[in-house]
Amino acid sequence: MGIQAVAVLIQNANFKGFFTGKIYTGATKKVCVPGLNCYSCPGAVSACPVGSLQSFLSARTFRFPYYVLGILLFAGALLGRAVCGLLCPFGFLQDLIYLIPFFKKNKFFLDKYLRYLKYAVLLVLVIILPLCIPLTPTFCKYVCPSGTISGILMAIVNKSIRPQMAALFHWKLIVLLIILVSGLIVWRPFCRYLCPLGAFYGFFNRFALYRMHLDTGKCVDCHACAKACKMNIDPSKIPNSMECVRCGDCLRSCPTGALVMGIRGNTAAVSAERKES
Amino acid sequence: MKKRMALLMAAMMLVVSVGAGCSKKEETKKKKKVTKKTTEEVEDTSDEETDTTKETTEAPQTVNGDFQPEITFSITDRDGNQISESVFAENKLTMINFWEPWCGPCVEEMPELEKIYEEYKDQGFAIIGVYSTEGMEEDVESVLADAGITYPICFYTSAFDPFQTGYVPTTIFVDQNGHVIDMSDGEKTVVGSKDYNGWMQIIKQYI
Amino acid sequence: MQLSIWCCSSMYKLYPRAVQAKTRELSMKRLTEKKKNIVAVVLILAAAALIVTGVVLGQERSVLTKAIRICMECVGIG
Repeated sequence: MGIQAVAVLIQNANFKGFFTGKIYTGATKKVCVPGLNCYSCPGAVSACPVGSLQSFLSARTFRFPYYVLGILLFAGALLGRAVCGLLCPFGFLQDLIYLIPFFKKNKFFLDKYLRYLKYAVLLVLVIILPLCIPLTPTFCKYVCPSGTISGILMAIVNKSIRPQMAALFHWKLIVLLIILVSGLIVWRPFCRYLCPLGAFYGFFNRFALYRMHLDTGKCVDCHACAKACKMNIDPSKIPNSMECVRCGDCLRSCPTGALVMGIRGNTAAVSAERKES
Repeated sequence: MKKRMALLMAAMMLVVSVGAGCSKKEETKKKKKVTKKTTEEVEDTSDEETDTTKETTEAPQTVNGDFQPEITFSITDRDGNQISESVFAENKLTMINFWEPWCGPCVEEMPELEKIYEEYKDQGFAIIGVYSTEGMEEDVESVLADAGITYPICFYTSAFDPFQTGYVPTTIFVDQNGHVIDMSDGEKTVVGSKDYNGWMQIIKQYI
Repeated sequence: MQLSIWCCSSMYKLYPRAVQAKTRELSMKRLTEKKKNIVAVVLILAAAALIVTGVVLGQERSVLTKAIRICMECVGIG
């Protein structure tokens, strides 16, 4: 939690923007952060990878997005979905909302199938439609809740944008509201069902340098980790599932310390390796 | 183990140093590019756009005592014409429209602006389009060609900074005295795109 | 050669089953853990190459421009 709060503050360090209503225009906005932090937030000091990616794909003259893709690949190979669990501000917001006492239901029939929706969002709204329709970043325009929050924050401080908020913004408000309200009941609904970044980083979970390691020698099959997991994963079977956002609840619930997260795991395999060398 | 960590550190240092080195180079390159562009624009003769009837002169035709331009600038448009704050004095209403070639609504409203320009240019109305993106000249050309733009299009200059809202499209209106007109909500800038009727509602008040 | 194999296999048979299974598991795990790290490092190097290519092409300036001039419709306002 602490790391997440610090990450949000660093990515939105332009506190002045919340008073002047003007966005930050400094050079750090050349860099995309790995999580979902809309560059229209008055505090944002960096760029959003999804927005930047769409702008390259949707430009009138197509230019292959080497730079943005490189940043995404770098973050994925290093952290995988630890970006979601440690760095993403919208993920942090959902974590906070879930803390509010309410009826909770993480496991339900449709959950497993809805998880595939985020891959469709990645493929269609982030890649295909912007390529086909020029100058239209479809995900940012119609879906992204981070942008909606940034818009609300900006509108509070800067009245000149308020008259612009018409039908499109109202649609995005509805989307945001649905996500936030379902976030009271289900943990991280956006991350589970809609986030294209989560879909992308999920592929790296197995290989990322910072990943989960399961020591089968220590595991006693008590399934405490599966019970603790709010993403309905069984870490004792699949420690690096594509759905895992590295929240760490399973590590904390394991009685024998068989689950470890880091660059080098504490598995017997690694200690055997160390003995040999 | 140690080898792997060393390899990883080397990779990260490589990325950081290249990134830092390249960004510094890019800034000096950027300055060179901007000066190059302005000289190129002056020499550019292969423009397919028809030259506008509006030619600008250095000194205003009528210098009255009230002419106190809030913005002073001297830029060249894509046809090679020099434009400065004298354009305010020469027209009843000057509209400066900040746009970008990658911004959908900006590009969509340009044909509407062109329509307004053609209708009212003889009644003392002027538009200047200002964009600030470098390295997208082909996109700019194609946007202007598709929309059939005949009003002057210029590259951004820091003289416009006080009216930079951070949003595009942003538009300001300047009257004959060089004073930027306050809009109905008290703001000097109009943020966002409008259609023909939306713009005419504002323009009709001054023309 | 054949004698050593026979020795090994008979010794192997004397080893308790569980330990045999664990050793097999460990040796397999050791391989895949290393492989995974190699894949990660290769991807990181590829990412570095992509970033450098992008910077050489001036793409980070493009990212900057879109981040400091917000197209309102693009973020769902207006």
